[in-house]
Amino acid sequence: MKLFKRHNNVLPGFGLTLGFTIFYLSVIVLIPLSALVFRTAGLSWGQFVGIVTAPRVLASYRVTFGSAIVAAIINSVFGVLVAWVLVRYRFPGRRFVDALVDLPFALPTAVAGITLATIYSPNGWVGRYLDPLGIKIAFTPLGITLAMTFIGLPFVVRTVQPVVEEIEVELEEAAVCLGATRWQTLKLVIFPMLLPSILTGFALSFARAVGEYGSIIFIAGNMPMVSEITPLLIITKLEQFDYQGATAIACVMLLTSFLMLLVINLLQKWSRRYAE
Amino acid sequence: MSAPIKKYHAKSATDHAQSEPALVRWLLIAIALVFLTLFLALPLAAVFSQAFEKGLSVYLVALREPDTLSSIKLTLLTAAVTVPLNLFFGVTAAWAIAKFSFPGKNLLITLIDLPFSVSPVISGLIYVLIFGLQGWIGPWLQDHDIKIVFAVPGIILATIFVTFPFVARELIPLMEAQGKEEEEAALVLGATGLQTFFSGNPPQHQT
Repeated sequence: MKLFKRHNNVLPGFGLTLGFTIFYLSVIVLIPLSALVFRTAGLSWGQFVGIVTAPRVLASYRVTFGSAIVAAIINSVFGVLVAWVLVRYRFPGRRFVDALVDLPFALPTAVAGITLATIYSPNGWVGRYLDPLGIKIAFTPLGITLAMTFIGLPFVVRTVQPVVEEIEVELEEAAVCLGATRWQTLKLVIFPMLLPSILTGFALSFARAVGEYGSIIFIAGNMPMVSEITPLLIITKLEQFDYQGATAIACVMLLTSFLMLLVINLLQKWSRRYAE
Repeated sequence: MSAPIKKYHAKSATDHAQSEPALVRWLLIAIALVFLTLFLALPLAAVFSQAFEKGLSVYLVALREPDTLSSIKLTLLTAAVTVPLNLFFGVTAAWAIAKFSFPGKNLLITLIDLPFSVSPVISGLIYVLIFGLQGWIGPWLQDHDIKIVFAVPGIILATIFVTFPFVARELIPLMEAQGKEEEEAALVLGATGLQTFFSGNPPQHQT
């Protein structure tokens, strides 16, 4: 095993654990995903492009990715704020709020979707105030952005929070000694430290929002060309037994997931290097 | 020689070098709380208020309906099967990744993370593509009258896929931070592999 000599793997169990890991991974993840790719490979290139660039599909990309970016930006801005406030300040109910941030993780997506749709519908708790103003949220693209913000919320907060906790007080004190105002300290010292984790949280929240189905379809309206998200389009094509179309679009989404995963991993590598 | 690094703990910020003026602080707290109320507290309150809208008795009656009971049973059954499986996998994978160096380790970690970023719709679709009527082994399954898609096994498979990375993702950084010294010491002192794993690790593995 000259390959491993350099690293001195002396602990037992390597073959067994790695073997089982790869087996389980293949059976559950790799082989099924490859089924998707093979199925789509059956299409000719022209057919494939034709399916994934159809007007309705393009509209769904616009709705899905557009809403996801807006939601991720909202989450980044307010997520940093919430993380900062939770770590740095004391106020009554802080611990409860801290626990509450994990709610979108714990709530089943269908429950989240129905609840949001109810609250923001014209008769709902919030909707009844917004409707007279002409702002319709439920069953419009705005509702999609709202649902995506809800489900992506914990990602930014939980990614940025540990970094805020680890900020060394000495750095801020040094900045003050050197004559910086509080704003300068925040902008030039603290913000660069938080930036990698903010970007990671943004990417995570975006990736989750793009793929989400359950919490969005209840509030979305689901009208083709206007408020139809790509996952819903895949399901619709499946129901019409258009397996080719469904797998083609699913492949596009899978590619996006791969890319996002790559971006997130690179960002995390960057932030780890920065932290050292 | 350097003093231990001070972690910042929220305290009443009388020291203005380390915090913002009081007005700014309370403004930020207010904005954060309004945002969270709108997006988190309201939905949470709405779930409960709607459930109990017509009173506790109506809620209990709805809970006892056969459809509700069978769906709860199905959900619990799925969780009971998938959690131990993924737990076993997570611990195994974390052991293989954290305690050994091998080429392709980063690729393996990325692949384990893959279900996390894939849409839930796709995670169901791929199993339909294999086990469904038009799938790879669909016709064989139909000949033998085995139902996977649109039945409990399919639900369990899809749930395993979706919750696949969670245990591993939590354990890997933890076990990497622990290092190998304890296990190597145990080996030197004559423990077998399983002995090392079970007696050396329980406290850290409680996560």
